[in-house]
Amino acid sequence: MQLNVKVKRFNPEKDSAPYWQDYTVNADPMDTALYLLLKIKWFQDGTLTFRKSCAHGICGSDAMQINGENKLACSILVKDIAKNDGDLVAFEPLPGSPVVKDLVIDQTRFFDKYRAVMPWLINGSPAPEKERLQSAADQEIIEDATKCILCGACTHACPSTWADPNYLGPAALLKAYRYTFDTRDEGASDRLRVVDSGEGLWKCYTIFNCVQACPKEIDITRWLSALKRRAVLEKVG
Amino acid sequence: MLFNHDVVIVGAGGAGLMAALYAKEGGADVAVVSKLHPLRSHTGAAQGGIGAALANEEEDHWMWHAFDTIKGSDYIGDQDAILIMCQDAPRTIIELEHYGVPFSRNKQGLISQRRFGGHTRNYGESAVRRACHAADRTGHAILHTLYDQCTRKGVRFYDEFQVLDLLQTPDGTVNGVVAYEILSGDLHTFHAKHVCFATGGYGRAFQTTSNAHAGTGDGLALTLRAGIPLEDMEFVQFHPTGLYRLGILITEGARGEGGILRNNSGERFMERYAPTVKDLAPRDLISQAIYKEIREGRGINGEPYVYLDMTHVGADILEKKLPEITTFSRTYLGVDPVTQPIPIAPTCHYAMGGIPTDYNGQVEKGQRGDFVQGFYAAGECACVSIHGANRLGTNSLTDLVVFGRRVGMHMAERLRTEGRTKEPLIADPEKRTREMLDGILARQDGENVATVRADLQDSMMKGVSVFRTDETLTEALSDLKTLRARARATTVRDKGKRFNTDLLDAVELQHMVEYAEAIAAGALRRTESRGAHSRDDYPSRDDAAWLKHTLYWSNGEGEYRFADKPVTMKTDEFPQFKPKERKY
Amino acid sequence: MALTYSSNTKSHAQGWLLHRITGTFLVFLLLTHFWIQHFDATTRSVVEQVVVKTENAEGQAVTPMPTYSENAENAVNTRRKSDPRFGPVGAPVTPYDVTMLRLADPVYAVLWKTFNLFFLLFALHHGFYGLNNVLSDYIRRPMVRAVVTKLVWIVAGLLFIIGAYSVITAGLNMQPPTL
Repeated sequence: MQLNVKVKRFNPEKDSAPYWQDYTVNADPMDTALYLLLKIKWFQDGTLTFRKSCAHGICGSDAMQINGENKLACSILVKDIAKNDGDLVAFEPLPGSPVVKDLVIDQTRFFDKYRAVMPWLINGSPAPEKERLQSAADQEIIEDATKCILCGACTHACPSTWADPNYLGPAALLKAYRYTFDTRDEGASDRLRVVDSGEGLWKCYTIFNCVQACPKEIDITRWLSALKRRAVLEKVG
Repeated sequence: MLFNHDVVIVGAGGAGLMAALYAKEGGADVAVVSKLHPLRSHTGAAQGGIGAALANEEEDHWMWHAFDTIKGSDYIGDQDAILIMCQDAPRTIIELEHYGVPFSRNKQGLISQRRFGGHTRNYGESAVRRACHAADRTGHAILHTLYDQCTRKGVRFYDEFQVLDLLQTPDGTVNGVVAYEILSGDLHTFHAKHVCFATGGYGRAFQTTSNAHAGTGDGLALTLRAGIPLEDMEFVQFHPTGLYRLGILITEGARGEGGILRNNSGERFMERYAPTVKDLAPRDLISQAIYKEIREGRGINGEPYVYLDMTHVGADILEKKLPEITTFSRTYLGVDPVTQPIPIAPTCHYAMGGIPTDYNGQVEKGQRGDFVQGFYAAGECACVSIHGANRLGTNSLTDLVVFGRRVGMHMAERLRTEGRTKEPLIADPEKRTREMLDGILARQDGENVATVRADLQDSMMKGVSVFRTDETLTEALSDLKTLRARARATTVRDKGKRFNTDLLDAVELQHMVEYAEAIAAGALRRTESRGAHSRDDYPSRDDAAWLKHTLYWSNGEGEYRFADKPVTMKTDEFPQFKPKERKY
Repeated sequence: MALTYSSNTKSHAQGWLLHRITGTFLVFLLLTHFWIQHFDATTRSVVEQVVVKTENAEGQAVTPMPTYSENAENAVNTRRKSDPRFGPVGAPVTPYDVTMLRLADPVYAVLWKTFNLFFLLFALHHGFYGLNNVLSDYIRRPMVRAVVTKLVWIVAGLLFIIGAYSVITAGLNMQPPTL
């Protein structure tokens, strides 16, 4: 079918403000949204710029706003965003970060936040000969959080982040959860000091936008709530 | 700008990050230069597992692992390196666990292991549980953990910097790279004592591939251009189970959990091709079997695909142990594996060949021990050679982490013993790259990059994929001659400096032609069938003539030459490693 | 611009926890408040008539006092017979009368005042904590944010003093109506 594709374009080298550009693209309902962009890039307009790599939802390069929702372009099919000939599909960069060019955003701040939460296993005791034991049930506690691909769809869907760009945001806090609740980790108190700050956990008002945006369907708010309980117990209990 | 580091690692997948981490721990000042943000690397797409004889589930020995790898390689893997890998694998996995990789666990709380194609107990007796895994996101779990650790240790990352040239002194010692900063369009020189390529695979030269868009084999082309050979390029693995038409990978773990391949009559056809291990035969055999079924009219509805049937496996295992591929199938094909068989066809997956190295990752100019000073390679872009003519499932991640680690430690050790003094750079190191880029940008008329690339992928798919003959390969080579000229005459529409991926597509296309020729020419030269290299006109393995590696040099103008390199055997100590007919 | 996140900043866990606790109590306090105002047979006002504007004999708009149920009128008029501070029997019953009736008994007065003090405290904490959240979302400069936060809590404190004064002194110096 023939789709009316609109892309919000912006090249700070030459544009003073973002603008919408229209393209007409022939698409199969089973094509991915990424493929729509690739068709434009390859055969209509080489200047159109976006990130992409694995094209099946595991590398996290192509998070963007499609018809107003944060999605991975490679993980959503045309049939889910357009039904008929002439339907509109709109692509915009993720909201809430500076735009580098077209659909490419500057992720510096996003990864600063990731680094801030000490996203690594902290265990000072001497490593055993074999693996550290962990029951399947204990592994299950962090399993969902380990699915995170750090694509940024959640953090850039979070109204708290939009209002306050310094807020750590769901992706970084989920990472903090993933390590804090790992039974092999001993760094909880250090990590909690960071997430317990004024720019941390408490700016999560359980809006659930992150859960809705997550392409890996991670129950982010649930794990952030667990982290809140842990932080309170550490301080009060 | 000029950046100075002891060690510059190009590529930030599993091998690059392992090398970075261990070099950093060894005291080196390490920079990782990557055209993608490290977490976007294709290691993250590895699904089913990482092979190591931990024996967490049942009796297992690294010797059995080595035997399986050698047999899987169709006896052309170097046995010294294979022995080292299989011995190193368990301790490396344990170190990864200590770093925090969230492996799935068994009842005892140990790392859970499952069956995988070609991995057997007691030298081929029956399938063994050897694949350590984190659900079906093993590569993703490892990649993220390694990045976390590199961040902790203070490895310096240059994200979205594409390396476009390898710098050498007049005597051939490697002492840096030239990189293009994608954000700004500026060129930078990295001056280093050691350079390690961990640039990954090249599947994008084929039409149907499981590889990322980034898998354009850049490191291989740069290496060739530096006058260094590539080894065993004719061996290209086609993974049997890619989603039909899309090529997206369905892990071998699916068959490890009980999945069965069926043709149009519902027959479990692998029973005919590999009576012992059936659907868990190595990938080369299964891919060839699927193509045979299709060619003989037993594809589903006469179309070029067969079914991967998981319907008897149960929703519980699919959701718990194979959640990713279950989602892929539902998302991309609208097929629910719980109730329907998944349409699959072979997809270009892995490069067995690459930059020749020894088992410490030191790049060899030609014959053994003749090293290119200052130059290392690890991971899929390297050819140690572990995988020979066919890689076993789970051995790619094992290769990445074992040899990435060894390279990192080796570079750090040499810095300690030999000091940090770097060889001086040549004058104006960025000149060649700047001229090349300016040339592309200045061209106003010319073909579209995507058109030429599509033709290249089509030629490679038709002529150089699962089944090859003199005729198909000669045709592909003649196509490549024209394609080389066409690739050099493309024009790009984006002339700006900022995040110009249009320009980089054009550069990558030139890289693709470079190594595509190595694949096709090597395949034409090797007049036998071995592992993934299957010639219709030479259907059997010919150990007398071809039990040896291929080395390929190119002058970048379509002229190339070959040399042979003997396979390292350890059959005096280990008679069970002697080449035999490969049956499963 | 690289951000720095320090691990030495003040913990915000207690504030958040108090917000949950006050929120939970407010549910019960509000339910009680609601019951007294709108459902209890004696103390509820008849709401429909509160909002109807009427005119007096001279054609001026007047807002009538809420009218009360027969129960309430009976209770107030019974009280009037023995306590002149409640005015003459048969005079219109006002909200003031109904509230004073509740506070006339010293034991009930202490209970109700305690209830209202907690109500006031929790509502102020809950509301102003939320207000501070909103303000800190939009005020980016740390210094400004710190000053505004302090100001907000000062305002909350003043409001608590005024409110507490009203609650504690209500009914203590009850005078007969001047009407």
